[in-house]
Amino acid sequence: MTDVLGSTAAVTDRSSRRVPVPVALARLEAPRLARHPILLVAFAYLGLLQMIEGDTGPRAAFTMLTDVPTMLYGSFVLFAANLLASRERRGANEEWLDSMPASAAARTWAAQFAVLGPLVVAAGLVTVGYAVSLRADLFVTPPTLLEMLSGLLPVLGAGLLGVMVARWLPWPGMAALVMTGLIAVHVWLISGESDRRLLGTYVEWAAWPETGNPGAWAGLIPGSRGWHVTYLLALCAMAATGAHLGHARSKLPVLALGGAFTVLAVVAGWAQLP
Amino acid sequence: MTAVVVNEVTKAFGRAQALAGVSLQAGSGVTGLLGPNGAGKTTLLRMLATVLAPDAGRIRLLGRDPGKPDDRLDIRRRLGYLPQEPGFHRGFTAFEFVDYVAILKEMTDRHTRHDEVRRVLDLVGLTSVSGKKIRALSGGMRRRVGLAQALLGDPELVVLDEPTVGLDPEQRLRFREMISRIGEGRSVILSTHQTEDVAALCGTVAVIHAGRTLFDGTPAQLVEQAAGRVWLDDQRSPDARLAWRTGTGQHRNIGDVPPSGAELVDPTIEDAYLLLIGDEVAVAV
Repeated sequence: MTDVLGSTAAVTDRSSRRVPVPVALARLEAPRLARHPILLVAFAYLGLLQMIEGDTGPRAAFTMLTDVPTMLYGSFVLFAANLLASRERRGANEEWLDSMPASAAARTWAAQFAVLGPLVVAAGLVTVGYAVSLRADLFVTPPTLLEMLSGLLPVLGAGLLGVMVARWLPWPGMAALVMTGLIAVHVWLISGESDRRLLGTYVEWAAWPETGNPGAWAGLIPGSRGWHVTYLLALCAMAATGAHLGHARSKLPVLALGGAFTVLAVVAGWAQLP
Repeated sequence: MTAVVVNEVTKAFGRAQALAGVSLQAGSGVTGLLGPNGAGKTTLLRMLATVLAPDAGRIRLLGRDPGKPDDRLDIRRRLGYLPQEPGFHRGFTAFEFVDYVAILKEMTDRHTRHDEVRRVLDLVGLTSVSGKKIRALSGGMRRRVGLAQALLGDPELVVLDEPTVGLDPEQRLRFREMISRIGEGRSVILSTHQTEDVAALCGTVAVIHAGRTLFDGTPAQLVEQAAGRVWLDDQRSPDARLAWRTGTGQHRNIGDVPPSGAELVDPTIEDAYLLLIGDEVAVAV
């Protein structure tokens, strides 16, 4: 302990604000989110599922890189991001942090940027999986970049939705309720053979074989990959914008931006259909 | 410059009138806000921390108006605030938490920020436990983490809401020493309901009760209010407004009517405080 309190000069350099606060904060939060206990549970669950089901074959190799990150990891990311973004409210220190120069909006931006942490982890795993599968000659048709992106973007979307839920529905159990709603909508969208399945939270591009080994290759379903990725990006942007609506000083520009992303989602959602 | 000017400030929460026309001024050094629980101290401190706006009245902090967004931001850049019950992120280490707050205080350059975090942790004597999770720290240490974050960036105004509550005597003395030194060269507003803290630390003191300022001056002036009104006697005086048996067996009688044959003694700040806020507190004591 310093002998005389206050004898040491404060080491502050506010003049050199080269890094915006949300970015600096996200650098701290993204690794924390990536190693959030919920996401470690997700990995354990994924591993267990793979051991139990253990589908092999070209279809399984394809879906592992295009669907699984979304379906399982993304679900957990929603909860982890929600917990991160609601931490201040749960800890009853929102008001304390409001006395800081950085605004609540900056904290929301930071939580949103932090979602890049799990996304990078998922992308890294997909990249490694792609390289290994390619080397082991597991594919009949390897997934394209857009198909892999369509598996990864919902991870980002789930995280952004988790942040939005923390801002708009800050009560216990709300993230679980939203997830239940998402699952219900998704199940309805994928039921039957309608093209509306492309509007779901994830798309299985590799068609299911009529009979036999579910890992067997049965071709790809039609639909525009490019428009689907655009559709997912628009949904991500809607969630990101929605999270800021609550504390925006001027609501109109945020609403206009959200409206524009909604229109884009509708257009891209329509355009992706075969 | 007078760091804090509060003029006829009122605030109500529904039907409850938390502040009913509080006025006070605070300059350099430690200013104590003294008052019983529910007096309105925390409400006032939340206003000084710029997180709560008054219903009426005027507040100037560091020469700026916290009601204006630009002024408020400037105040926040020059302010350190420790709330009464800080909600720490318990999964963070002490270093990580102070680092997190440092970013919120716009210290975004990692290298200089970490130097500053180490400095304030050293100031409060937490260097050796900076890598420990907050949940593993004692109550006193957590309070010191709270104080460390309030000192980030060497703020001109430090607002501390009951920083010594719940601490053991040794920890309280350590805290007293720290606050006293923090008050050298800057304004510290310290809320407490402990008269000993005020007597030991504060250059000025405001007594708040039921949302009103009952006194604003130096501790010596506060003590003066009880001059000639405190007696030691073998018996409890029926005319005393307050009286209690001391450890020596004599009774300390406080009031306006001198008991016959009693010895007039020098008042303490506690005597003056009790006289000032009256019988309502006497019941609690």
